[in-house]
Amino acid sequence: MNAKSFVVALALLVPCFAGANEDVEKLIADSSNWAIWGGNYAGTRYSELAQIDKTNVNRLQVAWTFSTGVLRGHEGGPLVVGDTLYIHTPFPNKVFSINLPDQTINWTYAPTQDTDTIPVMCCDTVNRGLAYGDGKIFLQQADTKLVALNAETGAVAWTAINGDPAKGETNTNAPLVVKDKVITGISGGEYGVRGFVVAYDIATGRQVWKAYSVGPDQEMLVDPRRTTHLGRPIGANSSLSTWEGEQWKLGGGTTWGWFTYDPALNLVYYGSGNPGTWNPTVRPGDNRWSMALFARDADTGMAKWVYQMTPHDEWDYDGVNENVLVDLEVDGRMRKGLVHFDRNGFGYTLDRENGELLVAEKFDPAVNWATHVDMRTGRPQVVDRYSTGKNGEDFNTEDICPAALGSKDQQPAAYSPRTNLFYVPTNHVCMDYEPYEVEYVAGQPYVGAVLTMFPAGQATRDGTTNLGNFIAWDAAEGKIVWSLPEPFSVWSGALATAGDVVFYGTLEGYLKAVDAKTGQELYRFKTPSGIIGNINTWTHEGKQYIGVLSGIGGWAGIGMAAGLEGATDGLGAVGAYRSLARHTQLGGVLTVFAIP
Amino acid sequence: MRRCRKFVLLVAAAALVAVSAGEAQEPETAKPYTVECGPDPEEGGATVCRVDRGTYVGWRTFHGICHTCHAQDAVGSTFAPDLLARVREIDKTAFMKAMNEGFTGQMGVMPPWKQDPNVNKYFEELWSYVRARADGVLLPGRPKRLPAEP
Repeated sequence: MNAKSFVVALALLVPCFAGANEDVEKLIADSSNWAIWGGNYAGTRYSELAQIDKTNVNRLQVAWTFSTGVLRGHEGGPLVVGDTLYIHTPFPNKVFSINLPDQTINWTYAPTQDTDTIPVMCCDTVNRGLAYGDGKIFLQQADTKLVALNAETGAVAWTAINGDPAKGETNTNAPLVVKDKVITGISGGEYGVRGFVVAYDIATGRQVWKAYSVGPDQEMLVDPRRTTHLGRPIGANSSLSTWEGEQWKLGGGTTWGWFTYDPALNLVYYGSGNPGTWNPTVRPGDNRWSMALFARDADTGMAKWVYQMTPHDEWDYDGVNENVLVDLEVDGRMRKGLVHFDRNGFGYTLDRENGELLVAEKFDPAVNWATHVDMRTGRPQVVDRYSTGKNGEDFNTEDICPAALGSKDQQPAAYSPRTNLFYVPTNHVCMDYEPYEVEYVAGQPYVGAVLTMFPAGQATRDGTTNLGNFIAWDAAEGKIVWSLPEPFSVWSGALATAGDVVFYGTLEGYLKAVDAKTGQELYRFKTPSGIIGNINTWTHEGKQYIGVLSGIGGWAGIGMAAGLEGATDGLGAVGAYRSLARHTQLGGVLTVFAIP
Repeated sequence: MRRCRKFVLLVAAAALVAVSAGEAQEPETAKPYTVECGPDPEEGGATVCRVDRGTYVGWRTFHGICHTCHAQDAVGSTFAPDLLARVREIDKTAFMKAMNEGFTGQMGVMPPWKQDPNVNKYFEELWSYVRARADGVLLPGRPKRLPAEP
């Protein structure tokens, strides 16, 4: 290399080092890639690709498949960057780099993790996938180790320890790359873990900032005067004053969901989970900021605003679901919107710049624990009959809708700018809930409630038995536009495309394609196992592909039984979930579709 | 539980199935549970099982902790085995050993429970519950309490 070409090479390299953000943004802008979990920073899970459209999707066929070699629940989906596809597995969290031209494996990363991690993961050993940036692949292992892998070779560039499984801290989330940082959270809400979000330096793995969900102001990275809740400063000790004594130390508010980012506002969005024990009687107060949405400055971690959906949780309605960033017109005014389908059954639309609450309506008519959300205070108006706190310890509160797994759990929604509709995979499950007193011991489950779950129809007495619906939602109006009943919870991430097709997966294992306008089913294919993964799309050599991980498991799979008994009296959801065993079995497989 | 205390044995008790099933090779002299299942007027005639205190506490502990892996009614999940089948294959000693020391099986890993105060106080009760389920005596669903023993 002569001096001149060296300078040119250096000049080409500089942008890569200057900002991984630009790198990622460029990759995202090219819809031939699927470079981030949500397809883009806004998390719309929408692709401009339109080769596969509503007129030809019925000709879809399997192009190739890939077994991950792992049983257990497979959440998340593949990333595609150029000629390479990256796919992850549940524990032990393998990563495969696949060469798209011939589907050979470029490299495999197979970590050795302590099996003691497995039993402290509440609901299966899922992992929601990878992040790409700065020429690296980021994996958040179950044992809390955040690993940076060289995307070309699979070599470990750096690792960072994010928590301690001996205290019940684990990880299931996909990290997010923003500028020169990798952002990640923590799981362990059923172990009294105090949730936080951390940013690591993308080049070195050094911790840059860490912000807790609950506790003292400085540890939460909030400014009592500048951080707002519904437009008002949150004031000093906004969290501490809503807990009794030292209970905030077991305050939960874990952060195991999806992260989104607005580059113009430089804000990262995510939600926090349940407040410590599931027994509300022993933790009076609003338990801030569990069950809350956060908007944080990506550089400093400082919170710009926060909004608590479920003050003083009594039902395990974690607030961790994704926040989709979409500009939309509400009451005649264009807004920089944020749309969030909460576990608690309300679909929220907020102004993502200032956290103003614009819309809060039920996205499942079965929801009964609250009548509505007061738009001035932002508080749900709880129905006494369904208040497990009012009813007290050792009392079984019956027919609460939704169940603890929420009207929707982690399975991310999609949004199409062509229809202005959100496509939401939902659960239609209710529960009985009986809190009881428990002691906290580090590394042991800290739950304190007995749960029984069953199809919502058993509570609403409308004669239905479906456990899920796939719905289209108008986030400006707060209304369901259409709703497709599904026999089981819809636990897969949806995809919307410019071909006016919406894709989702079912627990029996079907990949389904429906018309984005009407919901009419256009195509279905039975994949090897139940789907709790996300549907993603990309092109290779100019041809559009659709990819989905199947592999039943996760919280949705906990009810899937092998051994059956004759009696069905009082079986409820278990009866329904049990019949899932007639449809599918374990096993992780990536299935890739194309039109031949 | 409050509702259970209101329970009075009705004439319908004649329809109740009193169960004391057993297996010949079981070394224990008495079953670790008392279970009576039958139509319950309080529940519109649906079949409901009533159980002794120990079995009830076992049911509750199970559905507070164990069900997150072994599923409601101990029928197993994608993550942990069907305990009804498993418990039929083992005796109480093996059960207690697994509870105390944990168990690595074909599907996964169960942690030891001897240091968890929310569980270790109730090993006997859990045995009563899973045994009653495994014997096919206690039906799925939430049981009610039998009237307090004298």
